[in-house]
Amino acid sequence: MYGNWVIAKGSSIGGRHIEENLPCQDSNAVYFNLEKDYGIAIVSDGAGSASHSDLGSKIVADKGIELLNERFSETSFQDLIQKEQIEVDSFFIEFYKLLYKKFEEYSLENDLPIKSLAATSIIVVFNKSGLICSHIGDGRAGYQDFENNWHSVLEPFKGEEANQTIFITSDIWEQPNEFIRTTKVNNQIQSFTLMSDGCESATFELNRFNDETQLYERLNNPYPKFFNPNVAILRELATSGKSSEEIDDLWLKFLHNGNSKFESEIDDKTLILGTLINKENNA
Amino acid sequence: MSNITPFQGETPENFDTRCLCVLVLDTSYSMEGGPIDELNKGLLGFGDFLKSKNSTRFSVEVSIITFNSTIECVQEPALVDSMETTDKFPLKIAGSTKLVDGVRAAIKKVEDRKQWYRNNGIGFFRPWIVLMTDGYPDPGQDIDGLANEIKIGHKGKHFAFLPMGVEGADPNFLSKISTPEFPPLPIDWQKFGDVFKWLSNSLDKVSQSTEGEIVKFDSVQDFTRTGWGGGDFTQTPI
Repeated sequence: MYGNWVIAKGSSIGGRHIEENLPCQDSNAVYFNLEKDYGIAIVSDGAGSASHSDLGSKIVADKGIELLNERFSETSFQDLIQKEQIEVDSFFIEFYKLLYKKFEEYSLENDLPIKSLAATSIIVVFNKSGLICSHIGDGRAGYQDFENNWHSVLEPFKGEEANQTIFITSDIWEQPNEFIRTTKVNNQIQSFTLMSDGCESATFELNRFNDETQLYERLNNPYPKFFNPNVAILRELATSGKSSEEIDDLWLKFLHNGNSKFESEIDDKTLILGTLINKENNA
Repeated sequence: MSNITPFQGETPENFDTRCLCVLVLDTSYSMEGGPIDELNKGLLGFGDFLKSKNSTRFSVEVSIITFNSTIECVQEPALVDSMETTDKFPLKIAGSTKLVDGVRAAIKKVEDRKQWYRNNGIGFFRPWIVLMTDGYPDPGQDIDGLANEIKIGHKGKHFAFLPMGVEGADPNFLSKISTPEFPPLPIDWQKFGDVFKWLSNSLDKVSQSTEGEIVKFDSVQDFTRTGWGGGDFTQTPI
C-alpha cells in the first residue's frame, strides 16, 4: 500500500507488438516512503526502433526508484519542493546523469549498444502538499487540485513529425536543460496521473476545432470525464479492502480493452493513476 | 462490480494525426488512351480504399497536382470525405511534360501544408510525394536542381519521394531524382488500380506507425513491370 494513497498502475502490450511477437517495451514503478511521506511514480516507454528498449525502460523504472531514494536521503522532498525552480531543475539533471551511468554500466556488462536501450522517462514525486514532475521525451502527466480541477504538468517533447521524440540515451547531455524538463506544483493535490503516449488519446484532450476562429487548437488537458469516474472507483476499491495487486490486476484489464481506444491502440499502454483515499481527511 | 473490471470513463474526441500524400500526375499527351483512362479509374478506387478504413479516412490527406504544359493543383490537401467533385475530374490530357515544375509545386505544397499543420496544432507524419509519369521532362527543365532539392528534402526528412514510371518513362532520369529508400518503381499502367491499393495500404501503415518503427510495406510485385522488391521505410527518431 501507499500510505494515504491508492494507486493503480499497469503496462499493457500494444496490438502491434502482439502481432509481431515482441515484448511490451513500457515499464512502470511506484514506491511510497511512509516514514518520510513521499511517493515516486515512474513510467518509461522503450523506443520502437531500439532492439532492447524493453530492458532500457526497466532500467529507468527500477534504477530510477533506487537512485531517487538515495537523492532524497540527502535532500528531503519537502525541502526540494520549496526550492527555486533552477535548483529543482539541477536536482533532476544530476539524477538523470546518475541514471544514464546505470545505462552505461548495463550496456558494458551485457555488451549491448547503449542506443539499443533507448527509453523515455516520466517521474512524478508526490505527497499531498504537491508534486514534482520531471521527464525526458513524450507521454503525458497531470494532477487534480483540491477544487477538483485537473491540470497538465508535462509538455511532451515531440519532433516535427508525429512519431519522433528523444530518449535518455539520445545526445542530450551537452544541453540537458533543453531536454530534461521539470515542473513543480507547490499546492495541495488530491490525484495525479502519468502515462506513456499509447494512453494519451484515450485520456487527454489533445486538440479541438474552434468554431469561432475556424482553426484547430492544440490542447494538453487531462479529460475529467475519464479521470473522475476512475478516481471514484479507485477510492471505492481501496475502502472495500482490495489489495494493490488486486487493483493493478483490474487496471491492467481496463488498459487492455476497457474502451474502444484502448482496445484499438497499437502502441504499448502504461497508465498510473493515484489519488488520496479520503480527500476530506487530508484537506 | 460484476464486470471484469470496474474501471470506466469516457474518452475524448481527438483529431487524428495527418498523413499527407501529394500525387504529382503526368497528364501530357503521351498519357493518351489507356494510361489516362486507367489513371482516372485508379484515382476513384484510391478514394474508395481510403474511405474503407477509419485509420486512413480520418488521417490521410490527399492533394493532386497535374503537369503537362502547365501546372495545376486540381485537389488541395483534404481528407477523403472533404474532397468535392469538380469539373477537373476525370483528368484530361494536354501539352508537354513540365515535370520538374510539377514536382517543385508538390514540394511547395508539402511545406505550406506542414506550416498549416503547425499553425493549427495538428500532428503530422512525414508527407509523401508520389510522382507518376510516362515521360521525360521538357527541354530546359532544371533536372539537376530538382534532384538536389529532393536529396536535401529527403536528408532533412521533409518528405518521402516515390517516383513511379509508366511505360515510356526514362529510368535513368527517375533514378537521378530518386532516393535510396524508394528507387524508381516501374509500374504497369493497366494495373493502376493495384498501384493505388498498395499506396492506400502503405499510407495506412504509416498513419498507424509509432515512434522509430520500421514500416514494412506490402510487396509491389503485382503491379511492377520489372523486379523491384519493395523496401522498408524507416521513420527514425531524432
